[in-house]
Amino acid sequence: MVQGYLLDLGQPLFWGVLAIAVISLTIVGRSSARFWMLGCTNAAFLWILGGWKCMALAVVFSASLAAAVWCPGRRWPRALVFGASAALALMFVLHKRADLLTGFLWVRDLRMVLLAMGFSYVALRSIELLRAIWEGKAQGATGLTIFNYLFPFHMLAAGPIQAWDAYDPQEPLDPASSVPVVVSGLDRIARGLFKKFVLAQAIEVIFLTGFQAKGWYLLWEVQIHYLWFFLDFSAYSDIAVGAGTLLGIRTPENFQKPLSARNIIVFWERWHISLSAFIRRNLFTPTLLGIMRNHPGIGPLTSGSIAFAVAFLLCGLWHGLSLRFLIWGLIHATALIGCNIYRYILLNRLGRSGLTSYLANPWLRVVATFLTFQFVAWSLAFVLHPALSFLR
Amino acid sequence: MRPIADTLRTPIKIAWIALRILIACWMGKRGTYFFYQGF
Repeated sequence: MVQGYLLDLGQPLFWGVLAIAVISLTIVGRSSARFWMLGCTNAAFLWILGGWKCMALAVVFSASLAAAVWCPGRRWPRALVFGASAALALMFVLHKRADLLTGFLWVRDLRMVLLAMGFSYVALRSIELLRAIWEGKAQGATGLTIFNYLFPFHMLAAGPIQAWDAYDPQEPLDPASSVPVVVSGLDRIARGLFKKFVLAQAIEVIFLTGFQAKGWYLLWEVQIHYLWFFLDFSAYSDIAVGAGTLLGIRTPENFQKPLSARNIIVFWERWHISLSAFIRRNLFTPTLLGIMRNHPGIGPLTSGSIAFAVAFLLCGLWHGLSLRFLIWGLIHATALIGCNIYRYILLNRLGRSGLTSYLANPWLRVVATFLTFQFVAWSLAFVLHPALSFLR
Repeated sequence: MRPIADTLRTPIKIAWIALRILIACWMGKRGTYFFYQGF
């Protein structure tokens, strides 16, 4: 039934768990049993997908963070936060670069467990939570709420990444409370399934060669590959949001017409929105404020550029601990810095009303959107083209 | 006319949902994993 450690939507596991969860949560309503029901569902899903070790690791990690919240004083909570952060970093490196430790059997087991729980996304949620604990904003969080926040089964495979502030305290929505809610959730799931299994699959079968084609076809394949990637990824997010609607769990949106973004800054406000929001909250803004506070002589443009560089280099490394993804992050950081500087120059030259008129030009919008599309498509091809796999 | 349209809206939507799911199930013979999984 379970195909390896990855969630397979062609198998009944996910749908069965979703159906049971929706029915169970509808029965318990808004009582405190709701959180236990959700916890049991999430734990069971981890067990089925990754075995008892997967579930045990999730429980132990959640318990350690809960201990950091509940420990009195400052020394032990901070020690636990440091310890959890170190463990998180080690597991992240193992998740991304298991090839560095191939001689150890336990490494392979642990890597499979991390793969099953979608560890890249767990890591980001953990960073959110660790920051909240450090800043004293996680008061009242229990082991159960922490576990449900870190390992939501319907967001396990590939996000979205929910902010801790948006999760706790979360006023629970009623699961499947009315016909319109159920229809809305199912509509979203149907949209995701159609995008993934009809549209994306048709594109893959008809047009994609895995970048094996040469010459002019490569130009075409780069474009269509970007479209395929968007359909595949946004389909998953549609299913996650639809499942969240049925479960009564607020699930953040992840895409908002990114293919029609007019510049790279707008692109990152529309693509993988939960990730870019995470980057803004936890990397960009703290870096920017840190520079402005500690180095007031540095202008806002330079501070912003440094913050973009730090944020997107780390974003690249989150996608893959390799030179290839580091360069990808650098490419996007450069584009963001360039776009920011260009916007600043335009504002200085044209003034606010002049800039508004300039941006309202429809031909300019077409050219800008085309260039942004090309930039994203080619940067995506850079990380996926087999000829560049030597960049490890 | 409007009450009829309102009455039919939900059943039509449900039928559209069912149709998309059926087509997806029929066509989804390969590649049931998502590219971004295991990232």
